[in-house]
Amino acid sequence: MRHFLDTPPSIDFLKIKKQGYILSTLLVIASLVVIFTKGFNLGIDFTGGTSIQVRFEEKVDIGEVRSALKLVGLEDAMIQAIGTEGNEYEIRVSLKEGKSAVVVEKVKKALQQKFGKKFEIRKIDYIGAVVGEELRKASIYSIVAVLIAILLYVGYRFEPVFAIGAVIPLFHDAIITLGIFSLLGEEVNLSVIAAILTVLGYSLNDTIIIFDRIRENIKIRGKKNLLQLVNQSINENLSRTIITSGTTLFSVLALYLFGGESLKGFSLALLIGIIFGTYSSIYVASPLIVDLENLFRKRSRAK
Amino acid sequence: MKADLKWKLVAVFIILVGALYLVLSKPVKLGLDLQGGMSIILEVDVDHVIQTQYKQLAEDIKKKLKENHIDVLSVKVSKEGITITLLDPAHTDKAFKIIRENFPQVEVKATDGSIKVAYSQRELERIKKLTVQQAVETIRNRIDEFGTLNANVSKLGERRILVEIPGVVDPERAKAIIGKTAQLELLEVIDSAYSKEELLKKYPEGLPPNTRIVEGVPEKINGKTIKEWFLVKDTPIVTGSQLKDARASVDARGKPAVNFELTDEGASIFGEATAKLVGKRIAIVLDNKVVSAPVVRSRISKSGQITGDFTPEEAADLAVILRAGALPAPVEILEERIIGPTLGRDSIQKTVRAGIFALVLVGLFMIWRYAISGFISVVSLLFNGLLLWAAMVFLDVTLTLPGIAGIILNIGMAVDANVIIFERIKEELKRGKTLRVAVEEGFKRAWDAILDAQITTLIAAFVLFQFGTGPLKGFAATLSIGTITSIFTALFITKLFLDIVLGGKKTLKYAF
Repeated sequence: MRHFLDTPPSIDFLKIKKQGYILSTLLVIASLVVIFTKGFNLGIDFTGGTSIQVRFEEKVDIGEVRSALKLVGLEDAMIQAIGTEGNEYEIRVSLKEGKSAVVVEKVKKALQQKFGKKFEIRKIDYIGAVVGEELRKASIYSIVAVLIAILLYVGYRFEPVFAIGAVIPLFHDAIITLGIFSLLGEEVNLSVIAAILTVLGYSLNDTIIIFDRIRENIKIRGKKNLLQLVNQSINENLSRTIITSGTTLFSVLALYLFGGESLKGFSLALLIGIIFGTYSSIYVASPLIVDLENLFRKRSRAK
Repeated sequence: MKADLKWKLVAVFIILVGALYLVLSKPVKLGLDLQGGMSIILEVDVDHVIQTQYKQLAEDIKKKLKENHIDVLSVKVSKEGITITLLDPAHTDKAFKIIRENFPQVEVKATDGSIKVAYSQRELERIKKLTVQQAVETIRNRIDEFGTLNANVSKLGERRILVEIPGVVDPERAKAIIGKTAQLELLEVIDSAYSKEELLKKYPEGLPPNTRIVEGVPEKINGKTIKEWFLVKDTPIVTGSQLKDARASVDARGKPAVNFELTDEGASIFGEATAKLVGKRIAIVLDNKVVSAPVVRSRISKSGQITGDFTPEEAADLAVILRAGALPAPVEILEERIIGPTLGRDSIQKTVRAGIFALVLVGLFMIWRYAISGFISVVSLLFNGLLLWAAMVFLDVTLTLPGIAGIILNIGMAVDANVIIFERIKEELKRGKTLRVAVEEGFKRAWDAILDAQITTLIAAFVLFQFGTGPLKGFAATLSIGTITSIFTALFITKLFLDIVLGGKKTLKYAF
């Protein structure tokens, strides 16, 4: 049992590459549709505003919190439960209600009126409009910067075809991760963006290990019958792909399950990203090399 | 054992001792998100300073031109510069020369009776830089004066200041101490009224030259709240910069107040001015609000009192702020994060539990899959953790909550290099190579793959480090340090122990 996959299997992964393309395209399109119709639950990192995390001594219904806030005119505040114990909430108030001092004072007053002194404010974040806008821009720039840096690095270490084959799946992974966040209504904040950047690095790591094997096999056998060669490279690498994705997934899962509420969004993004990153190295990156290579070869022959 | 192995073992031992020494020598710095505290990002309104400087400059230029008998029709000051219109356009050239000669720090442009004066780009940069620097120092001074706040104040980018205060803080009080401009001015009062309109009505032809209107602080008298408005001379008699000391005290009615004392220079100016103002009022203005406006009974020189609706604590804070000096420009709070102490403690507990869980799971799996080598990789993994920690202490990296997440993620990723190598060795063994050869081949062939794969993680971490703020920088830090140490431990530590265990053996049961 412990020797699973010691002998590389000969699974014809790319037999269903068309289906792979279709599935990936559908997932990306669906993600984009969800993102553009439903939008994101953006955290105050990006929207600006005040976020207050409150823990009550006893279980409190979300409706009670809402009605308490109504008393001080904060009925537009967003209230999110934190954890599953039902005694901790995040209250998000938009910038138009004023600066943190005003908002915090109001919220404290409201909660005191309704619940007495049986609560603790654990965290207050205030982000002004300028910073929110900047962070939004910086997030987009940094994702683009990572993609360009990766394109250049892979292009330098491998052939251009490989570089394209490595970067397209990254878009795929990032878009699907964001799509799932949009679908679930999970908060997108700075740490989620950080997780996506990490996923870009990790997903590529996975792709590169396969590419490395493809490169090695090309050196030995040349580019004839590339499809079969890529297939074999995936098979030879299968044990490693499964094992490292597995250990990384273990770690992230531990983080997601036991790491506390503050890291939930972050580890969820990593979790989704790693799963799709592993899938995309096999079903997006690898077939892309075969098809791009064929395409270029046909072109140059046509000339 | 071969000689080179012995030396390598010695090297590993030295690294181990060094790392242990670092780890035990001092604790790693905890971020505010773990120990609780407050962090504020302020933006310094440098445009305000530039406009003030232009105002002063305009006065000086006007004076200079007057000395040279050139009549000025009007002077307009904006944050872009000063526009001077001359009464007689024929004087343009002369005025241009005078300004150029006397004010070398500005750029002058003259067209037909109108002269534009502005600071050069370099001068503007210098003023901005100086202003932010001064603001940082003032805030540091204030915090030092307080003594109890163990805050860290640093410049952030061009015109921002980051203040981090660990531990439990009263956010409103901290903000008042840090963010109050505390510009104190003593001004001559020309007139006053109980509303702005009333005051303006007295001057149907516009306010007298060189004056401005300042709002008073509302006061409760016999249950009614009243607010006075003052018409004051534009230029202060003395300002907070001529302050020698400020102490909290009580006023005649026993209410909290702040007594201040002027420097010798300030005292002589103030004494001279007040001698002429007996029977008139002077306004004590703090941040553009009149806090009190006493009538001058006799010549005052050294000391004065600021009264107002203070709590004793506010009076004490104000005294400290005045002692530490005014900010060179108003500041605005852009971002503010406050984390209570319990949240950080919870986070540490939970993430450490998650980390141990991940470590045990990954470790057990590695031993199950790779037997003896798996055990070696676990040793190497622990070594990696130690090196990572030591590097953080050495590089003075702050450990944040995402930083801990980075370490846990690193547990899963660090074994990657080992897995790549071991799988490769297994493959070579399958091809019938001896253990020795297979190990050598495995390490050699895996090298490219490991390097390429880890560098991509480093690229992402590097970008993250550039873009991230506080806590996320901590994640980028642990992720990148961990990636580097994991390459080292996989290629060096794992290899060394494998060589020792396998020795020259051709085969070994449960080696892989």
